[in-house]
Amino acid sequence: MGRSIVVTSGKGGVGKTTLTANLGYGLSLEGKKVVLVDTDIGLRNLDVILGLENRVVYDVVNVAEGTCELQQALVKDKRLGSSLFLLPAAQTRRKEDISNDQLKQIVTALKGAFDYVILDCPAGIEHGFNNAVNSADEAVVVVTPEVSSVRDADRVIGLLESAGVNDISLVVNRIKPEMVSSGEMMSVEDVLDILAVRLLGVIPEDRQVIVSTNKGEPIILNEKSLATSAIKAIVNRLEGREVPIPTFGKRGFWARLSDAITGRRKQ
Amino acid sequence: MSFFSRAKPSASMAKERLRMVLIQDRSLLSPGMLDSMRKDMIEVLNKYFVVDNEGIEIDIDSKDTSTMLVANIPIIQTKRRTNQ
Ligand SMILES: Nc1ncnc2c1ncn2[C@@H]1O[C@H](COP(=O)(O)OP(=O)(O)OP(=O)(O)O)[C@@H](O)[C@H]1O
Ligand SMILES: [Mg+2]
Repeated sequence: MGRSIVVTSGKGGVGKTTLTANLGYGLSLEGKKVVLVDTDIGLRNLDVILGLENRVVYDVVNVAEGTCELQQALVKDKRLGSSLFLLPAAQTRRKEDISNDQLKQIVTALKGAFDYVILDCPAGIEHGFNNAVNSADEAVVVVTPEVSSVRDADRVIGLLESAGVNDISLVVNRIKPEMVSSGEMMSVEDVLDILAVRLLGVIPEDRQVIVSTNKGEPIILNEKSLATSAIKAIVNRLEGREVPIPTFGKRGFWARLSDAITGRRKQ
Repeated sequence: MSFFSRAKPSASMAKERLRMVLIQDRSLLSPGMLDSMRKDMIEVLNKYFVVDNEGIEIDIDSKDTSTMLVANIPIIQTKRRTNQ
């Protein structure tokens, strides 16, 4: 039986789909059999991020409705032989067009054939979120070091716990080291202080992410990218190897001093 | 960058504001939570005192950077300890 992991966040646009695609690629390169499930029905994107948009024939709603067999809907990423597959979302349907039981059944079937079933969760905490979360055994919460994102992540962690998903880990994305050093951006430690969950990884802000995405290529093949080693570390940790988490941006001496002085003055 | 010209770094402000807002989001203040906590507290307190169940006031106070649980519990009578 494989592992089912939902990549979720609450807040939109924090990097769920990008991370899902790259974890898929990274785990495949490790020799694992991986299937990525796009549960963002109506806003399909994982196909374009992976560069597989021209190969989509059927989608997850077709499978749920019995229009096609599960195997027929799986799109193989030929760059990796036959170790990475995508189960696309339906683009012209609504989140409600697939039930929780239907998605659960699909995920269970996939777990029988793959080492990893990774679900790309839609933003929000409505039907689509519930479907994805209730079909997974583990969750990776993606957060950016901003007030709104951390707040939403906190809410999502609460919802995950009440859904019975207790294996929750955190990826802090789009860290800008120089802003952290100058005290203008919350550090990874700040975010962890507040959310109090296990840290799985830290990914820096990196223009190369957009360059790779433009081409429909995974970031981790991009040697120029700072994000590459960060994502590889996440892959390693998912595989149970205790590699160190690269940190980005230590709070500088001046930032800490000014913090201490102004903090004291305020009280 | 000099600290003379600087206000409090915005990252610290972000963290403080998050702390405050999450206290409410995590629904410590929700009526349901407070109610069940009140029941639990009465149960414990009744081992030692006779308290005025109706007169108990429980609140969460947030000031600057600290948060406090404030409880006012009128004691009607203390219990005589028989054993132990
Ligand atoms: N580490 C990073 N550095 C720079 N850009 C990034 C990084 N991570 C993600 N992005 C960019 O952020 C944008 C949003 O990413 P993505 O689509 O993966 O987010 P999402 O959480 O899936 O969004 P949605 O909630 O809409 O599904 C994209 O343009 C992506 O290229
Ligand atoms: Mg997405």
